[in-house]
Amino acid sequence: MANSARLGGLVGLAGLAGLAAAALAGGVAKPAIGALPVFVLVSLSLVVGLSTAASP
Amino acid sequence: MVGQIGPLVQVGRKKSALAFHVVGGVAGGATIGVVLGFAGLLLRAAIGDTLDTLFVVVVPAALLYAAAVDLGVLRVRPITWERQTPGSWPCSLGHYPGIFGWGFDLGLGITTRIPYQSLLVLPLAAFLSGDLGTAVAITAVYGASRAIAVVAAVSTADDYAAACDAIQTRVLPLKRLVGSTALVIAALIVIS
Repeated sequence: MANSARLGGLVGLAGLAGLAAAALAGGVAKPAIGALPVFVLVSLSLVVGLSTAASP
Repeated sequence: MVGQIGPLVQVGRKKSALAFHVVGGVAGGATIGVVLGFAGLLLRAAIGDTLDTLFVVVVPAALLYAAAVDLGVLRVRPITWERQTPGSWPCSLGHYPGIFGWGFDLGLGITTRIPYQSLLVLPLAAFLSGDLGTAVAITAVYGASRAIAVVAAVSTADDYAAACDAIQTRVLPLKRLVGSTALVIAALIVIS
């Protein structure tokens, strides 16, 4: 149970950090492609990255 | 990676070793982001706002292809290569540099085996965004989250072989999750 909570906490922190990065890149920098595409692509990075722990 | 890094961090300072891995992941992701971001800026200088149109067409199309392959709808040979992060690095480079190097190599995303086709869309999108900050955000978050996933698995596992087996049994559901996410994101980019 403690391990699951720790795992969830770490993954949650990674998610928050990723979304903060997306907000910074998409909101502050005002990219030409728009903030939403940046936000969703960073979210995809987060999902793909967190899903590849088993890969060599 | 969990099976390789897990036993290694049993010797020495575990938290330092795992921190080196995460820093390596962020550095690897940021490095490729800077390269792709500059390349994208050059492309934007050459073709101007046409790049934004190119982005809106090519990235969702690539996401649709990736989602179809990852979801198992499109049965084609996935684009991938066989290279893996060299297991000898902690011996040849030293303990911490080797663990940092593993993070860096994996954080680059495109130098090792491609587990999901959706992963290939990330460097493509970073390049076609034509914006340095966007490119670095996309790739650095990938590098960081991939390293953090390894750290999370290593930190919580008691038996690394069993942890690897447990992760392997979840590869198919994870592939579907990634494919579904790619599909939703393709739609969001088109309607944005």
